[in-house]
Amino acid sequence: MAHRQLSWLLHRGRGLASTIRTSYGFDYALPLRRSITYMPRPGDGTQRTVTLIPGDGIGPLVTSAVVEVMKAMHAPLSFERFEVSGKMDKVPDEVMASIRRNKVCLKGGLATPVGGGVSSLNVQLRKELDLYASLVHCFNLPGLRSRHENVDIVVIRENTEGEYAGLEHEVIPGVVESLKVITKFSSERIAKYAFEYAYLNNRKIVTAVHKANIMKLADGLFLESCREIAKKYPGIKYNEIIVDNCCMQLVARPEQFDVMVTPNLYGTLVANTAAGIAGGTGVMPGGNVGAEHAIFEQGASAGNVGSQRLVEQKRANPIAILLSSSMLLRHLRFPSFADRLDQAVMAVIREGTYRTKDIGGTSTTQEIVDAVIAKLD
Amino acid sequence: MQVTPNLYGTLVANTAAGIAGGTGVMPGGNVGAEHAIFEQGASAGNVGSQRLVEQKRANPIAILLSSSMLLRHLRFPSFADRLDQAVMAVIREGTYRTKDIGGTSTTQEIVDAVIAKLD
Repeated sequence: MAHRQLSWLLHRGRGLASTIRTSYGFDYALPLRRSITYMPRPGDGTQRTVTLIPGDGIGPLVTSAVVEVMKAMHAPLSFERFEVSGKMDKVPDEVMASIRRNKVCLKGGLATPVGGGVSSLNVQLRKELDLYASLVHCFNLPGLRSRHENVDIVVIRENTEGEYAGLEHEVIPGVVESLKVITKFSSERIAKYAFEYAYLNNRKIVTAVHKANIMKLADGLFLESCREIAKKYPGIKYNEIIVDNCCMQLVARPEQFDVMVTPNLYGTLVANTAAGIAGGTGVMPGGNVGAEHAIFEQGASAGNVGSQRLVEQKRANPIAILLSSSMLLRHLRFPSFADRLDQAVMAVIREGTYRTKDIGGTSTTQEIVDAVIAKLD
Repeated sequence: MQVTPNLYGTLVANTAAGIAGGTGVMPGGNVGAEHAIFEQGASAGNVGSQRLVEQKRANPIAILLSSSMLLRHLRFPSFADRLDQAVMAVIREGTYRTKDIGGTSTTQEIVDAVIAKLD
């Protein structure tokens, strides 16, 4: 597995596996329970360029929050900014070239019209760059009351196929067929990612979400792939759950879930439900990861560009994308900056003085940004 | 009220049932132009565990309320009302409840309680 992908998998503060297998074929031992996830090598800390796509709606507001905080931290990042709008036919070539060059991108949402045959640019980006894993971490932020406590769920969602294959046709007027595509290759890939993530982050259970009782071939193939990969990780408990039961269990007893691996559509549903019960989509971090590239954006409901009023009043919640940018820092192997950003954001949430409307406060985006910068040590 | 396509409907129904008390108590039915089938509302395909069958502790509330819908469908509203108020009274009292809604009763105890509340 690529070393870059490896470091992305190592997640903050959850305890560590005691040995890490590298792609170079040797093992090295890490002490347990350290918050820093690897030993920095000499030469780390060179400036990295990140492609920045502000996006539509609240996108520019929240991404500029990240840029401001990064500058205040003197993080070794520079941003290459591109204006892309959901109204465009496709993502401009220069933007794709920039992401391919920089390997990492930070973006706000790109508005997708409902219906009308125009494909989503968010989905297009994920497919073209083969960002096959979408990861959303839904957890209770200390100090933020929500419907359920003890929620700590990582949803790992297949990001390139399934119901989002985009293959629809009208057979005869009034009858539409939509193709859901599931491949062994993609299912194995995402299952492998999920188990490796669980292994490296000391997670105990991986749950596959499916509806194979109805979609016997499609979800059946997904399940088979998960089972095969599960055999290679005997130390991690594997179970399966039908998606409608899963939704019910999420709102009744979410503490039973740990890592969840899902096909494309169920993944967004499960992630949004889990985000909703643990504090809201305004605060959950996440990212889209492939073998070579990664795009970080708001965790759940990333395509949501907010309302016009939110933009005008500048009251969008930047917490989610701030925590996602901390994941970005960790991905680029700057764990100390990531840790500093995390603890500043968590401190602001815990105090509770500065919160946007969606989590019960009255602050503007700028007030949150200032509060986070003030908490940076 | 929500109208949904097939898949989203089962997901939304299960989620809504989960937050409002659980799939063991929600009524529902399948209706066509000429026929109707009534069963447990959400998660109707769920047949429970072996242990639940052996211990006879399954929750009959959902299918009792669905059978009240059946009575209403057959145009027996007064019987439907009587059944509804008996079931609701048993739930409200709280003495007789199966494990999934926080009690320890068997199915038969719930049935006897509902029958006792019928006027």
